[in-house]
Amino acid sequence: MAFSMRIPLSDEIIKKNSFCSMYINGKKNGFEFDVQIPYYRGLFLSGVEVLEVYIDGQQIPQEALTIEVNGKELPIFKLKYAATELWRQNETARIRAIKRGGLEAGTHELELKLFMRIPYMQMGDGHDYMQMDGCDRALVSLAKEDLKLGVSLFCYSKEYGTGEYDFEECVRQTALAGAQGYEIVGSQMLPDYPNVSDDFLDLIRRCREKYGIGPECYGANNDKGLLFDRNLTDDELLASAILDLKTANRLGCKIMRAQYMLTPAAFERLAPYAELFDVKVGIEIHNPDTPSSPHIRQYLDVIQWTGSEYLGFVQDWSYLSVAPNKPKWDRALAQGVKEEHLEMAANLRKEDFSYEAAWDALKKAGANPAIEECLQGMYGYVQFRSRELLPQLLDEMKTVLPYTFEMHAKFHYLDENGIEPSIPYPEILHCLKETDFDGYIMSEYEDEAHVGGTQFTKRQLEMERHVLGI
Amino acid sequence: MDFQAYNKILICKDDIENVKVGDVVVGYQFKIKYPSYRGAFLSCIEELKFHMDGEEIPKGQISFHLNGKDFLIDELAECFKEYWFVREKATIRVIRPGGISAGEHELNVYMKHRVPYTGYFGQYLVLESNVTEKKKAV
Repeated sequence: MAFSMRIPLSDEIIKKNSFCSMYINGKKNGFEFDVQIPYYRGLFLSGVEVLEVYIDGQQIPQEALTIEVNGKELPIFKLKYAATELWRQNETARIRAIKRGGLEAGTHELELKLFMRIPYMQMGDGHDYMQMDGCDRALVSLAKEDLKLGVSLFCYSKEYGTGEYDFEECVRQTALAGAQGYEIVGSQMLPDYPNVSDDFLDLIRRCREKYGIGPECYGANNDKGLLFDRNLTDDELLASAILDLKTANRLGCKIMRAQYMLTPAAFERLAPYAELFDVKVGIEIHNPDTPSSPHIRQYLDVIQWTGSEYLGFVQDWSYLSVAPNKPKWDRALAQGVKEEHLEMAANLRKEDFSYEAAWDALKKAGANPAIEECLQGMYGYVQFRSRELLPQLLDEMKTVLPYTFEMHAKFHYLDENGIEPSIPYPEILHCLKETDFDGYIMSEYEDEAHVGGTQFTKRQLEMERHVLGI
Repeated sequence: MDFQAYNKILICKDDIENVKVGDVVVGYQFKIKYPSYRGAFLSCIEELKFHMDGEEIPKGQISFHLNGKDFLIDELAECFKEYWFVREKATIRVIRPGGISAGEHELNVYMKHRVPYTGYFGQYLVLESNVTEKKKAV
């Protein structure tokens, strides 16, 4: 192997983000990852001369290693006979390694030794060919095991609201999706809101016995606009939030989601009560706010100033949107809006035109008025930022992580490959798994398309488990 | 959240029924639900109007029945302690001697209601739910 070639087509041979634990009989007993060959064309598997995997310096025995190409999982010894299996240069192969007990959470050093014969470059007499050098080394990481996946019962709003599911069925579906706990929105599912009756607590207990899961977070609303003639005062919002704490505590929730209507001043006054009820209160950071918004900074000041462990945040990943909301976009198309006008709207938004200016430009361009809802979304709760800003937004996520009690894994749509068109889940989850966040990632399906959340929610948890390797 | 999608739960599937006191038919009733994913306090209802076969039902003839109590339409704004659970049907009773004739009728319900936790952009979201359905009277 005196000569070898290497033509890297992408930055990674080992695809770092594909690294995850492998499960045998439900237990962590290995790991797996994707590999792309650094060459300009595909090579037949028969060309593999060396394929070895090392984790933290220790070699995986060859018999415990497989490679999957073209949908076939092969042991290593068979590769030299696989003269008809083409490993395409733009397709990754999946390498799986059995390792008893698996790997601990945290960072590991993964090394791949890969040499392949380049079959059209003979170097001399006999069977001596140029080698392709596909060796690579990467620092890979596995999520903490105490990171937990949950589901907000809000995902089933349509099924529940139309009477298709009762409360128990929502809990059952949550368990079927593989959640370890759930969030309950009080104003949605408590018949005696803002109180909780003994009958309902009984139902919660029965569901826990049957399905093994219970409420972990109480989604409180701060209904400032409750009265017909005036807004609630800070004192009144505080008193209402204390009652919410009581309900959360009776339900057995350790976390309560609160919203921006609860002012930073009222939030500060809530701390001693939160401590009494032993419920941590997280202000929801929701699009259009991000952790660095002035408004959110005020809450951060309160958290740092009081030093209270009971005050913090619930981060809703809606603020990590980097593309327009798909259901709204699709609805506009269905109503006869032209795609070019939607794209124009998205560009105007990206270039920071005001809502009025964007609306004017669209009208002049002859856009169908049905575009209004989609445009409003782009300037409202489903606005998006430029994809180039994602690293900065993920840094913001990490900045407030020490004060974050829970994540709302917001989604509006999820295709069969687990892709949310506007919220970049692989990037978010990989970023999170390198931190020491160990709370709940609570899936929250926002049913813009009004099609129900059951299938999407199952898909979302599958995707999360896959990306996190748990 | 597509609030308007919940308008389809506003008018309940139940038939319109005549209301009797003894043998005398004194009016009729039908059922509605709050059109949202979550429940509301009645004080969040800003307007509530009904049309039967194109004619507005005078509000003085209507009583709104929920949580075992009857309210006048004009009282709703003050009912900030009266919670309307999203799966609970409210019964609308109309006083009308002789009730309503058997057969098909067209019912329209119009509700203007405030979503009390919104207002991020300076104003509360106020929704208008306007639903017309053919109903059977029995």
